Amino acid sequence: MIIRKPKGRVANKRKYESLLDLPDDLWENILMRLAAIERLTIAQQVCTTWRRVLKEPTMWHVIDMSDVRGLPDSKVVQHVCREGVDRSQGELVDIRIDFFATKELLVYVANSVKPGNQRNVEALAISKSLPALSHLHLIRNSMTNIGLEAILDGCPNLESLDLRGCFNVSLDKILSSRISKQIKDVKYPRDSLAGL
Amino acid sequence: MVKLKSNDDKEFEVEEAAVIQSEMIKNMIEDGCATSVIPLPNIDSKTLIKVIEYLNKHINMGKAAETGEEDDLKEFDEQFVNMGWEELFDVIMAANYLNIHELMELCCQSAADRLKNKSVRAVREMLKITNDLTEEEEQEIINDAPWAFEGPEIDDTVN
Repeated sequence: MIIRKPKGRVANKRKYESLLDLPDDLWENILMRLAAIERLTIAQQVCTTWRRVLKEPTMWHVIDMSDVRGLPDSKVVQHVCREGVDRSQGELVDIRIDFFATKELLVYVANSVKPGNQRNVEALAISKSLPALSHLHLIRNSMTNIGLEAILDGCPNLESLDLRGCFNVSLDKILSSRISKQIKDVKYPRDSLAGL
Repeated sequence: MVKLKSNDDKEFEVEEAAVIQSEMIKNMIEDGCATSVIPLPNIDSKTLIKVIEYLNKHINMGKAAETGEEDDLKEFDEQFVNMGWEELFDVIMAANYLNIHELMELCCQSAADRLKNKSVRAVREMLKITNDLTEEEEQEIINDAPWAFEGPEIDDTVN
């Protein structure tokens, strides 16, 4: 049987036997500032408290995999990313993947996210990882306005954007005028798909 | 002025403008519950002095941007978190209790920065953590994620 330390020890205890006496939610606050890869490769091996904290789905709402320079093996990065996505238990709201984003990985991420969040995963991934993008076809993509706005924010160099079949996007006046200002060549959700 | 009392019975006077950075005390003042001394049973005087030092420095944060004192504040923050782990954790607990968002951010970030790129052994030594994982659990970690043991170069020093 595992006996857990009581939560929320008082701060004035003079000598910490171990510095683990912080309550779990404060450890969460600290450990979520570590890169995803560090949480999974180092932190979860430290002790049971950290291992428990790192299993909380809230720890994995945001997965930032953009800073993985100097890694010898991009396979490790892929594993870390998948494990982080699994631990989010579908609650993933933001994921940042850079150069190592294979198609398989994007599909994996997209499939594991709950429907409410899922629709924008590809759009968010694109908006964050491809800032220099100039031509984008997102035909029949499931994104909503959230995803579209993320792309407009994250890809300022877009010259053409094909949104045909993206029926979850609803273009109001503001969004339409933003698109027409920013992008030269636009195909709208309801434009004909003939010729594809 | 608002009077705060630490758990070792020392009283401190703090300007209201400084102390309302604590959401907890701000609420107390708004509810009219801060007429006399506010007792802080979770905070000792040593920690409270640090917290007050922070609050006083960070009065009128918004104005800092206009008057070009941002760099000054940044330098202060860097110096401020230059403390031992135990002291840092005392301040984190106090900031959490008093609900001072910016101070929590500063201290938790500092804690995370110290842990960055450290090996498992170094982390345990820094934080005086005894390995309490059972052999089964350790084996489980390896089985679940064999790739985790092929990670990047790590720092085994404890500074």
